[in-house]
Amino acid sequence: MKILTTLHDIQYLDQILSVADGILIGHTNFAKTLTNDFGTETNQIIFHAYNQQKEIFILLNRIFTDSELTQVEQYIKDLPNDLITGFIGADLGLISVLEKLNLSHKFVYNPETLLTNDVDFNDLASLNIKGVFVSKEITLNDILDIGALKQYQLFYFGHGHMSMFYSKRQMLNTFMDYQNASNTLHEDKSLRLNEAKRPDESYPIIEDDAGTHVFRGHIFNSFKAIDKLESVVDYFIVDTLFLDDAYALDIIKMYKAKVIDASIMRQYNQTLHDGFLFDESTIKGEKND
Amino acid sequence: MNLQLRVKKMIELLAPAGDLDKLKIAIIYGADAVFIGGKSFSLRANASNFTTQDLIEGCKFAHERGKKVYVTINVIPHQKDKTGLIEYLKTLEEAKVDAIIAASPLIINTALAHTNLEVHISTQQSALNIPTVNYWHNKGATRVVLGRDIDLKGIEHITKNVDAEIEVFIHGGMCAGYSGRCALSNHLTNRDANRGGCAHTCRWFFDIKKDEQSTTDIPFSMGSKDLSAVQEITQLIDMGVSSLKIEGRMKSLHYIATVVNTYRQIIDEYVYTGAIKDYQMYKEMLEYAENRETSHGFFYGVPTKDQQLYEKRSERVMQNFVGLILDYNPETKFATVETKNVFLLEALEVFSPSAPKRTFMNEQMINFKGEVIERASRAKEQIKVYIPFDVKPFDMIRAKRI
Repeated sequence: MKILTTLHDIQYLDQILSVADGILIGHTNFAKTLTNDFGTETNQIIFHAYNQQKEIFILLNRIFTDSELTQVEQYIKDLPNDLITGFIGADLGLISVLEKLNLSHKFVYNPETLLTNDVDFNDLASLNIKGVFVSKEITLNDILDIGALKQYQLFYFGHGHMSMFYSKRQMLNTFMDYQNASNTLHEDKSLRLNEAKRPDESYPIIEDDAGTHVFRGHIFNSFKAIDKLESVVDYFIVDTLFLDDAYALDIIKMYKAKVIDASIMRQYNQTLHDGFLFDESTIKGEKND
Repeated sequence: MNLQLRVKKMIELLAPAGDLDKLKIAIIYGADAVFIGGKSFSLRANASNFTTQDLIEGCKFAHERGKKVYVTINVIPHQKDKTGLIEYLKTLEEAKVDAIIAASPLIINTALAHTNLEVHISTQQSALNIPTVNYWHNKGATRVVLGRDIDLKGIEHITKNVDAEIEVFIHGGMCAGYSGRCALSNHLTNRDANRGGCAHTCRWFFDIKKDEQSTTDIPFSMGSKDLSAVQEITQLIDMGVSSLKIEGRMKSLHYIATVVNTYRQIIDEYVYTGAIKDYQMYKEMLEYAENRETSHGFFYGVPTKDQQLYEKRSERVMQNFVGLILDYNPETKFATVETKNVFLLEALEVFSPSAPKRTFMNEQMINFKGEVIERASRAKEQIKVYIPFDVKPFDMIRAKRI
């Protein structure tokens, strides 16, 4: 099982690469909720990681219109594709773009919520793509069942603020406009939503060029399941959006050692949750109604 | 065949139907097809939904009138939800359902492999580009329902460059985020949005904070206004969209009748005359239905504040639909009416799919015991109402309510 993570600061690249097997980077025009867009330094990061024999994945995780797909194609053409391990996308339309560039074998499909059973998970197998992300919203047992039947590589969101919502709408902009105020909230990662009946958790919200995104405030973790996950997961993702590179270094070391360092976790003062690994969501919400 | 006749033949008005009564109303009031949910694998877990017997009767009712029935099977199944799928699809096929609307490859592949059911791809797949539409068409789907997050130019570009039929939402509630990709309900209420449990969490009120301080006293909400495409119908017809879809399987009989009938009239006026004389009239017709505030959604680009819904949570409760006509005796001029809301001896209006609206002064009512009454106060009772002109079963009686 390889561990991939995001990157905030190029100064941390070597340290991150010393613990992670690869990195996830992207461009603000084609990815959502990036930790950073490294602009002209992107190729430098790719060359450096490649020379360190690490893997590089490009995030293309927006939903695209046709005109946007045309721009994506040009963006990919301009990248040093031989050095890139994979292109992670949320839109099936990307397959056609990558096929045109003879790169479809590097496609990793991540629709976040949709791949919840083995048939849906394996549906793209005949297209010879690299792999897909299993849904974040299913149990460990379902992940293990799917993993036992996988026909390509299994990617898994393993740690971080779990995404709950993705809209193309610029909702902070419209909210500020509703108040006749200019939008000072775009790309502001310090914003949180609170709901009256759920006072114990604040939900990070961010508006970027892709739209508006809402996350769990508590941190999703896979520590309790890591032994079992190792048997089926090919790529384990540690996402540090709203956190930083130092956090990634600490967390990845713990997953590699398969031991939680309580003193480090205390230092971060985070509330961890297990998502749906051990507690499946209900169909009609019987547990909550 | 001239252009107008060809367009008329091709364009489909597709309406929701939460149960058998709504199916009949939708068809009688002008739908070319209805989409319904079965007892299994449907995303509106709280809608009434159809038994097998209802399905058979609904298909028979529709087909006798040259209309179609589609069944939504748009859950995203977990491992344990796979059980019984083939049997369920066979049941739909035997009931003579015309197509299924699905998002999961498990369901799509199974339907294509084991039945002759036509497959339409649900909006849950967020198809916004040609390669995605073609992907599903190449798999065997005949139709793709586009995501609602696309403008008119994008819809036209896709429609004119694919072989698949394209279906577009024209009216009703909108997901605030990309449909199928939202897990707000899963996390905040433990209800699985992709298996029929969506709690509409996006419409809740939140406090938005920066550094733990509220940024404003106004509650933040992600909810959007409902979609209404009165002004855009002619463009959608011209660009060759195959089906115009009204959302709302949970909506009332009266809502379905009102919305379906309004769009039926818009489509027919455009097809027969080539123009719409009075858009305002149609907008006013829609106001009889229990809508939330409406807007044009993404049709002209990424929504502005005018497409979002702030500080308002619910749709209006109208209570203007007071009775459904079950039959009419032209000799006595008494109609049998199933009561829906309270009404009195007052001015009433008959809303009919086959005649312009007509008003009358309600002067005589008789309850089921044969007693003369001045107030119909209970819902779902059958009473007699004197109506001085001919009315037909499924006509509706409205009262003026503010």
